[in-house]
Amino acid sequence: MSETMRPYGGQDRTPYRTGGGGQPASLADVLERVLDKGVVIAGDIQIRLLDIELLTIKIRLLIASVDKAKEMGINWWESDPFVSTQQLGNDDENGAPRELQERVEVLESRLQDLDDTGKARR
Amino acid sequence: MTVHYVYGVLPAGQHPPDLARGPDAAEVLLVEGHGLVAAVSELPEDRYGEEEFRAHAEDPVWLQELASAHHRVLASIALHGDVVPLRMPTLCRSRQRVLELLDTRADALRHALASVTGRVEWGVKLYAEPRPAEKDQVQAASGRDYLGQRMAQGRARDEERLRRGDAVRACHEVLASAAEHAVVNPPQDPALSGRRDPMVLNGAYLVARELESDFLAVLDAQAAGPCREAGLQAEVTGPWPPYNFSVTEDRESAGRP
Repeated sequence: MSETMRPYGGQDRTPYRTGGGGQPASLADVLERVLDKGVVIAGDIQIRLLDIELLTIKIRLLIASVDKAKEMGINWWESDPFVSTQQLGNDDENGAPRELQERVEVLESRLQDLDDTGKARR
Repeated sequence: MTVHYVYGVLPAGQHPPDLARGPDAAEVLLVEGHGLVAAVSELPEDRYGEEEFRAHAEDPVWLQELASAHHRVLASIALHGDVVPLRMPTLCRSRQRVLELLDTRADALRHALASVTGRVEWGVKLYAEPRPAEKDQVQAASGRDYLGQRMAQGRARDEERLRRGDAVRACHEVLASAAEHAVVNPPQDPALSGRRDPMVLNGAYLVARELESDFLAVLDAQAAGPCREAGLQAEVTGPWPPYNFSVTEDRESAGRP
C-alpha cells in the first residue's frame, strides 16, 4: 500500500495500529470515508433549480452491484449499525441457531401482524 | 473538454504549503470566491467525466486510485489547516461553475467549515478477541440432558455477548465525552478490515487539535483497562480530515434562511 493512504502523510502517532509502527491507514478506511462521507453539494433537484451543471454522483449506489461490492468487501452498509450480534457469533456452529432464532422472530412478528389485522377486521 | 473536480472547500486566505497532486499527478488549483476557496483539479473529461464515473463505477482499481488521490489532496490540506471534504465525486463543468457553487452554497459551506475549524478526526475501532474455545462438546446421557446442556451453553454465550456489547457502548461513550462530536459507523466486514476478529465498534471522533493528546490519553486508558478486560482490542487511525463531520446534505441547508 502506498504512502498516500496514510491519513496525514506519514508519522505514526498512534499506539494501537495493527502490526505496529507506522502502518498506513487502510484502503478500507479511506474508501469508507471518501465514498460515503463529505459534504454532498447538490442533489438532482438542486441542479435543476439552480441550473448549475454540477454532477454529484452517489457512487455508493452506483457500485452497488451488490456482488461486485461484496467482492471488494464494500458492503458495510449492509451490516447492523452498532454491535452486530451476527458478527459476534457466526464463525462457528453457533451461527446457525442465532440465524434461526432471528428468522423465528421475524416469523413471529409477522404472525402477530396477521393476528392484529384479523382482530381489527372483527 | 475538461471537468473541474472539487476535492473540498477551505477558508479564504489559507494557503496550504504542500498541496499533493490529484489523479494522474494533476495539479491542484485553489479557486477563490465569496470568502471561500475550492481545491480543484481540471481533469480531462474523457478520463474523469460523468460518463467515465458511470462506466467505472464497478471498477475497483479505478475507484481506488481516484479515492486515494482524493484523500491524498485533502490530507495534504488538513495537515496544516482546515478543510471541508466534499463527497467524491463532485464535478463542475467549468471554473465559472465552481465559483457559482461557492456562491450558491456559501452559507452551508461556511457553516460546515466553522464546525470543523481547528479540529481533526480520529477513528477508533474495537475488535472482539476470540475467546479461548471452551469446548462445545456435549456429553449427555439422554436427549433431555443434551438439550439442557446446549441451552446452557447458548445462554452463556448470549450473556457474554451482552457484556461485551455493554463494554463497547461504555467505551464509545467515554471517548465521545472526550471529543466534541462522535459518529458510530457500521462495522466493516472482515474482508474489508482485513482482520478475522469481528469489528464491534467503528467510531469517529472530532477532536480539537489542542486536545488531541488528551483524547489519546483517554483512549489509551480505555484500551488498556475496560476494553482489554472485556476482550476488546482497540485500533486507532488518524488524524484524518473531518470526513465524518462534513456530511451536510443539501436538504439540511435548503431549509435555512
